[in-house]
Amino acid sequence: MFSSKLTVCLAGLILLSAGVVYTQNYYGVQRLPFNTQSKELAPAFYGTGIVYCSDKKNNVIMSYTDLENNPLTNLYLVEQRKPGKFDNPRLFSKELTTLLFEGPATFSRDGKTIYFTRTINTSLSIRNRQLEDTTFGIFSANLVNGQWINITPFRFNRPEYNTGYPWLSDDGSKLYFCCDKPGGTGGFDIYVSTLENGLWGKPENLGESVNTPRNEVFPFLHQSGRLYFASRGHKPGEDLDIFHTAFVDSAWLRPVPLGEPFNTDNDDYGLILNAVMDTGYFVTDRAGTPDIFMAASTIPTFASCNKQEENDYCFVFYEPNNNELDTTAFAYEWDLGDGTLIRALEAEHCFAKPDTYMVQLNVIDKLTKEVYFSQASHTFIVEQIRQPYIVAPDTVVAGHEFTLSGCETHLPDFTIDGYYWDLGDGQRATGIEINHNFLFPGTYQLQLGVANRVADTGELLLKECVNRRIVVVNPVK
Amino acid sequence: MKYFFSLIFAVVLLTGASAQPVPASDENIPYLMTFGPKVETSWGDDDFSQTFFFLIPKSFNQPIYVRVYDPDIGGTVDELNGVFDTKMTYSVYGGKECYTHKDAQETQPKGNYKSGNLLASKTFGDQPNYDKNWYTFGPFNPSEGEFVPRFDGYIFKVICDGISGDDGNLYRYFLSAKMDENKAVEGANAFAYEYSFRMHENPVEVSHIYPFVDDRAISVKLSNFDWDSDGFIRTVSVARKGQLSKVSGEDNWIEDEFTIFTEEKNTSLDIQFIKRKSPAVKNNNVVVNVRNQYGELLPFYVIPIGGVPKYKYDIGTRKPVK
Repeated sequence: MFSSKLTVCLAGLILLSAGVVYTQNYYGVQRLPFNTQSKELAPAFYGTGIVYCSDKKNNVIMSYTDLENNPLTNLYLVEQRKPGKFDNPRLFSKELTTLLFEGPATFSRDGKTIYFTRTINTSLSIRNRQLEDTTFGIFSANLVNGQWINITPFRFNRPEYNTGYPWLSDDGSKLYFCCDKPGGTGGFDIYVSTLENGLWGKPENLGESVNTPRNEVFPFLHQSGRLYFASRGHKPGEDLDIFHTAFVDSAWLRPVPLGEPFNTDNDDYGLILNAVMDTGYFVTDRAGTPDIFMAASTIPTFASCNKQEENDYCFVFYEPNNNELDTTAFAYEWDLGDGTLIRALEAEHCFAKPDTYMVQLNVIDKLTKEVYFSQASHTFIVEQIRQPYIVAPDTVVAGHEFTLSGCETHLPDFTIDGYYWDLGDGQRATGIEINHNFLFPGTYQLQLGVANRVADTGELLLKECVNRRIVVVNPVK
Repeated sequence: MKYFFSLIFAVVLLTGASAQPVPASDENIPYLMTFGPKVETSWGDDDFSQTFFFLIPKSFNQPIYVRVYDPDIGGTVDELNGVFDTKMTYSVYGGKECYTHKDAQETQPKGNYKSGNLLASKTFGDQPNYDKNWYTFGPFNPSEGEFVPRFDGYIFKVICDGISGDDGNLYRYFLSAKMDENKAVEGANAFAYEYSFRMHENPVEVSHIYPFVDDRAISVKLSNFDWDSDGFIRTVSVARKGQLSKVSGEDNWIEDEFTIFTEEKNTSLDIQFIKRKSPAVKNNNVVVNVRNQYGELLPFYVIPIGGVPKYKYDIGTRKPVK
């Protein structure tokens, strides 16, 4: 809690310099109840529920194992009755379920097309339940009359190497996936294929800024344009961690690791986030086996925000008791208390900043030439508009970091416990001052909400918020 | 309402400042003026007579004196017209109807304007021993004046009449508690219904007279005579920051009527006489009176009732039009 703007601004700078402002710090995570002692992984949004992979024993299915005797995974669907409340999982689709490996999946926006990972070689002997050839590829299928049909292999599947972990962009035009084919940077690399005239184009490796000699897997392209993926190669250590990057100005940005509570010393991967990024799912081994965890934003949401009004410290000062009978020519000299003297019947003046000014009216009698000082005086308080206030440039360049500040917020009757930012591109942050980087040109709506909380319970007491626009332009070539 | 009116005057008389110089300092008038009757009115005097009333609070029971500065007509102060051949009579009246007779409260020396008991009188001509010197009338017992209940005090009337000649008499009064010095009579005041006075020669000097506006006034008519267009006549009040009036030219009267604001009732107006800076006009005399909508004259108190009125400036603010 801070009592003055100066203190607030200083505190904000301290927080910033301490590096506290990370978007992911403002999520709470929980292990979902449908997890088992088996593996649950690769969540994908499907309607209100989640489609995911699990290698749990299923009595209906006689399963194969890989050469290390690990059971193979199948696709399951778990419906969500209300946020955080899930039904019991069930097999996602009988048509798509085989004795072989069905792995990570992605869906078109309308939910009628699936791209999923599966063992390529389907002509395996049923007698040999320990697969020697588990090379996998990407397959697609269409939902027609409740049945998944037209199971079709991705045209770039090859039995010599693995192709999988598909993620379809929201507009359906790009398919991100992973492949360990020779010629990459090593291990699994992330590739992207673009739909051209109904055909997926030649995959392009995302390059060495994203891919490393080790594995990059589980790509997820958020609507904001941010690409999340898991990698073992972007920082020291053996565990998988989640990173994000974006394609800006014809290049992929250097991947940034998520902090806690997403990344830990265990394997963390497979992150997906909804459009407004207040809810997401990811996989982590932190409980011993791969489990799906839900991440929910702990940042308060703000509705019905007012448009931010610009502070205007301009006023007209006048002598209100003028009556029409007065015909003598007097001159008024206005001493506006900030060193400004204006000789006029009415004085229009813009103060530089909020403060308390002693405004005085000197009257000059044009007939006698006498000056009557301080015939009226007024303690004039110039205040900011009562509102949260976003300090930010009107226009910024895509891919360039800039600072947003809430330190000019003026809510004198309000003890602010938290500043909450919705940056309009799906990103959220907290703190009085934050740095941000818009990835793509466009017009975004910034939102700053402030709140105070009950000390004991943390319950929100008061909330105020404002919106304002910011224009993001392409960098000058 | 009458009670309120009386109360105002009673308060002024009992607690007011010592108000015996006539003209008083707030008026910044150098001299009263009365001409001999043989002069043309274009010299500035419309009637060759001037009446002042002096108020003595009932509680004051010591002798009082009316002292006249430069009572003669000659020497350096007075205004010469040819040779000094003017005679001027000063008369002090008290007793019944010295004030309350209607003719006493008029501007013109007509009818029984010399009402009341003549207490003292003296005629002066060109007498160097009184040039820039004082002559004292009295002593008078305050009770020799006319007791006027609404003032809660006694009134004496002093008339200066031009008897003969054509020169200008410039003089002042002092209501004194001492015969041979000017000692103020505590709580006293003085007033006239028509003011005839000499302007300063210095053009930066501003003279003032203070008519009292009672609560019956709806509008007033300001009349001035022979201002010779020497600058501006301006009215200031608690609600009026400076209203210019029509000004008279050579040897004529002019009237200017204006509405009284509610805030001006039971206050004094400040009628300012502002000389033109260039070309400078010298020896300018002016006669002024103010009547209400009933034609009743408003008294000019030498010490303004309620103090010198000041317009109350205020500061308003609004947002600029974008």
